[in-house]
Amino acid sequence: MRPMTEEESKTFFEKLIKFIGKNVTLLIQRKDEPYCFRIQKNKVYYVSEELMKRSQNIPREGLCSLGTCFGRFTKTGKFKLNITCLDYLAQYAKYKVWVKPSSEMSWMYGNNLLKAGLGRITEDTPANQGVVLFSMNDVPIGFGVTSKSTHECRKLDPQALVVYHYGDVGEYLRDEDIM
Amino acid sequence: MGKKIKKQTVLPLNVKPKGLTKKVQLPKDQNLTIKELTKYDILFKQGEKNVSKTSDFVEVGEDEVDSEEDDYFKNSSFLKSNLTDDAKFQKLSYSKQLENEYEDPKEKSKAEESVKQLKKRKSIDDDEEEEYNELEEDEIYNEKSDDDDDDDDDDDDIENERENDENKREWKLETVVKKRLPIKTHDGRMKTITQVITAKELKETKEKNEKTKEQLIEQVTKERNAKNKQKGKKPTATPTTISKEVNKQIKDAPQKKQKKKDNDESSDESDTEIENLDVLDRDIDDNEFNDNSKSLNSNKDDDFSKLSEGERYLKEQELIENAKMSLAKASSLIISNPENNIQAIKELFSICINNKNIVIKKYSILSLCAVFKDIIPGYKINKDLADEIKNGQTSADGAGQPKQKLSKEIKKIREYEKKLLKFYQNYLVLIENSISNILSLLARKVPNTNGIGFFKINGTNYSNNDLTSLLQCILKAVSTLLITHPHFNFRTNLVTITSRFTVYKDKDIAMMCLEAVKSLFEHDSTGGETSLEVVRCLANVAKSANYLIDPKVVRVFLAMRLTDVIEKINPFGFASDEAKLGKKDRKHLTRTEKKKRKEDKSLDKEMKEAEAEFSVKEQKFLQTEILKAIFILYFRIIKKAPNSPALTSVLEGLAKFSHLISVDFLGDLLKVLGDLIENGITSIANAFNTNITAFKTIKLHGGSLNVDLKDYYVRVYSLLTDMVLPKEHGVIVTALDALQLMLGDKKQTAVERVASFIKRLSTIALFLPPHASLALVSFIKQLFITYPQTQRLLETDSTFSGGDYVPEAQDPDHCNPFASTLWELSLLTNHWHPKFEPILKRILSYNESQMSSQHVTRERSPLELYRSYDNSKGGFNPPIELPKEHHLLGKMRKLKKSFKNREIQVFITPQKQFEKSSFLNQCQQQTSDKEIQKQNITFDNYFNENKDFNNQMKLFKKLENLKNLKSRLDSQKSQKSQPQKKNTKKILNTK
Repeated sequence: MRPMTEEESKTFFEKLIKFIGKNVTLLIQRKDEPYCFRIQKNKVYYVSEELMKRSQNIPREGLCSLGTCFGRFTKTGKFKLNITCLDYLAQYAKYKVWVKPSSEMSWMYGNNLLKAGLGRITEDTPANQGVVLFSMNDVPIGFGVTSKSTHECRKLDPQALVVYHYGDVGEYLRDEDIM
Repeated sequence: MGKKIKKQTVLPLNVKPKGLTKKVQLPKDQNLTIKELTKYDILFKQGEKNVSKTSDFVEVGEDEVDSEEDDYFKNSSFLKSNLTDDAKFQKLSYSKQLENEYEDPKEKSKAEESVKQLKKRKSIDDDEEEEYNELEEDEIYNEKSDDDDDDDDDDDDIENERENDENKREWKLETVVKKRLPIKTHDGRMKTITQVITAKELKETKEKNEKTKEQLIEQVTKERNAKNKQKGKKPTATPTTISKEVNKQIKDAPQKKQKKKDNDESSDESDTEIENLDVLDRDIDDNEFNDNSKSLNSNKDDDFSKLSEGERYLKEQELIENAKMSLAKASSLIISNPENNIQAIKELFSICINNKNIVIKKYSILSLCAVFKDIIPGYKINKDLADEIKNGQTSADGAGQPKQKLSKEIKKIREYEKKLLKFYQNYLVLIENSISNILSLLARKVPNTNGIGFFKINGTNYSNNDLTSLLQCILKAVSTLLITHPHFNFRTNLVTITSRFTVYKDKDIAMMCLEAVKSLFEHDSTGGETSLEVVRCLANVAKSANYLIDPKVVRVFLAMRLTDVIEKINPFGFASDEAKLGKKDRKHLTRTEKKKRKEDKSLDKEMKEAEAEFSVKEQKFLQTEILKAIFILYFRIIKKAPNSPALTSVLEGLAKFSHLISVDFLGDLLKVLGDLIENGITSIANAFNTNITAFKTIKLHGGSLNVDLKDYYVRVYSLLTDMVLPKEHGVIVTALDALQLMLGDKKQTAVERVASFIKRLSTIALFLPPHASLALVSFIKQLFITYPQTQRLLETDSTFSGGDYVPEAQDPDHCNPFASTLWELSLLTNHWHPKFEPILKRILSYNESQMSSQHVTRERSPLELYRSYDNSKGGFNPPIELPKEHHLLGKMRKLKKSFKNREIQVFITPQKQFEKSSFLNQCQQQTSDKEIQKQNITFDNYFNENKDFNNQMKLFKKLENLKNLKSRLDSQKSQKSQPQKKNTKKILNTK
């Protein structure tokens, strides 16, 4: 377990900012408890400092996981968000998309979201923007990247792609073994 | 009509706006930077010097507006209707064309052509169009701000005009008041206004009142002497200047005549006018000199100087009284039979003009107004008749024109109408002139001696106060006439004056004009034509004030009555589909058909005039135009002056009319509002109004796509705490409306967001006046019903939430409301206001099962609660109730009844461990307090009285016995009796 290097933190926060914008600061400067990001075996964890201090007693090889996993760095040095960070993304998401109940399952099997399944969208969402997806009951079900802005969405036909799949809660079942 | 006349007609208006705009801007200087100020100064100076050189009709600011507009509304709908696009120009709405007519010199000729085409096509009657044109025209003249003092420049102007608008010659300007209209006397000779008046006056004064005449002369001479003394004996100064002017005008005349050959129609008329003008000036001279000579002859100067101040004052009063009397006489004479006695108006005019006393002037102006108000008929006087008047006597004599044979009665009526129109015209001319004179006097400038007003400029020096009050008087008359007879001829003049003075620096005058406009909007008997004119005029006024205007001015539009016939508006798009369709149809017509159609149309038009009713189609068109004009003004203010104080009322207006915005405009509107929300909005009221507009339009036109207006929620949430400030308390009605739109819809918003709004609203409710917080609490209750999940806020235990509640967060999504509870509601249960407890109890006892069975409609809405318990005017609402009667008291009363008012004894055994009940207190009071007992004749009192009486009787007897004993034993044992006596006294005292 170690803090991130400068390069790592740059790629990591760039990715995060794509989804939650300036609210990243709220993740780190919490009122209740100081939190921090730590890397353990290529995975980035969001962990309270107290827990982090305690876990320092455990040797690196023996430490399987701590706190909340936000994602992992690939071999090429890119960062990939994991679905486990969804709770935090959902809380601080800048742009949101609500999915109609009919398309929820499709999304949770790993498909992209079509216009037909678009229940609601935040006004002024630009294209290629990270968004968090919710069911109509405000349960977060994943995140993705928009292909069209809100304004363009108005005139789209129902079969057009609106949100590219990035991660969904179905992964908890599908990829249970590698999580 | 030729342009020379037009020129003349417009001249009186020229001076006003310049002074006015200057004045309007001055009080708002604080808002402008120094740089801007200097810029204005330079502009004004340039305007005064070189106006005549800027002879074409382009107004620079105007061009800028539209180029900016293009940039600004680059979204789809506006681009479609590009204003400068020739090809699409004709598709533009009619009014838009008119508005843009002069913006581009290249476009101008095209525009005029298209106007002409449209004129033929459009079904509205010509008058209206012309009035629009004139409106525009007036404005342009004003903006040009040319200087009338330079006569040479005038000529250049005229030439330029001729070159510039050959087309305009066709426009008939009968609705604009012509200056110095010739009056035809019974013998057919032409006389100017003053000629007639003076003749009449002389006659009248000789016949009627010798005394008043003397006084008048005295007054005049006194003032004249004073003036002469001041000027160092230069009585010849005025005549020379006047004669100079006359000469100038005479010089002008031949030049004008040359040009007149081009247009034969108007030549005679303008000739006569110019002559009249000369004659008129001479008349003034003559009058004054007559007065002078008379007074000199009478040699009353010496007497006059001897008069003390008090006597002078008395004389003045007497003069006023006399004037009043004669005013009343003349007015009642006219009103008793206007058709026969209309000539008596001249008397009123003469009183007004020939008296120097400002009070008399005011009286006469107002009485003239009242007279006109009463005698003006309920219809617009026929166009032909108006033409006849304008063309003077030539056509009236029937020179070559075959005239219809008319019956005697109709002839009589026509004659009357003609006269009425003439007098009315004169009245308006006087009003306009005197307004311009007053304005220039107030600005401490020498007024151009262009026209005669109600007073002579070279006469006495009026104080600023006098001038302002006179101005107020005049405007009162104008606005009254506008309100009562908006249908009548020359309303354009009234409209222009009124709307100009809505932004006048004097608050009283401005308010009066605003009130007039408001009531006009509310009861427009012309079906919207006048309102449209006013709206356009106000838009121009706002523009000339750089949109830095009082929010009250813009708020006036809220009074507009718009019916359901109106169609949805895209302010920068097409007026309607009709124009497009009509164009297609028309292509198939042959020439003969066209001709026939034309004839039909003119016939139809006459029929319509006769009907004097407004068809649905017409109304629709007018109201659409009105609304469009309003919207254009709104968006210009939002765009060009977002810091303007008027923004508040603009947003209010948008919120009110938002349901009338068409779907094409949705994108632009949201963009504008989004920009505003992001950085323009600083007050909670503005935020609420913007939100109302945005949510309403989205709800109406959002269609398939359901958008989440997050920014709007964030802005309102962050400004919500401002509501506790006392100055924002009035905003609660808007707030409820906006919040209902934002949160009221089922499942539109995330639960978390609703919860944070609930939390913040309940916090605010603690600080608001009771009726407001009651409304908020009831709104919270509604939210609990709509979003049952938010009831987690009411639970104190087992609530999962990560982190703490962040009360100061700006974003409702980040404040984590479920980490907190609604302790505010339980605090409010202890509120002194009696209505809190029941509502709160109901909220706090909610659970899911009850919720479904609950009938929401049964209860009063937040707004109703707010209204019904409003105690902002002090006092308690609901009033404080008397304490409830104790249940034992009721029991006792029942007992009393059952015993048929016989005596009862009630035994109470008070228990010490409890506090005394109110009943016991009352009983004890009744038995102990004798004063009250005596007043209240109740059962208890009677009983007590009896008891007392018996006690006293017993004691009395005892005393008697003791006294006897005492007297007996007195001599023997004096010591023994004393303690006994003392005892008895004690007993008596205690009883």
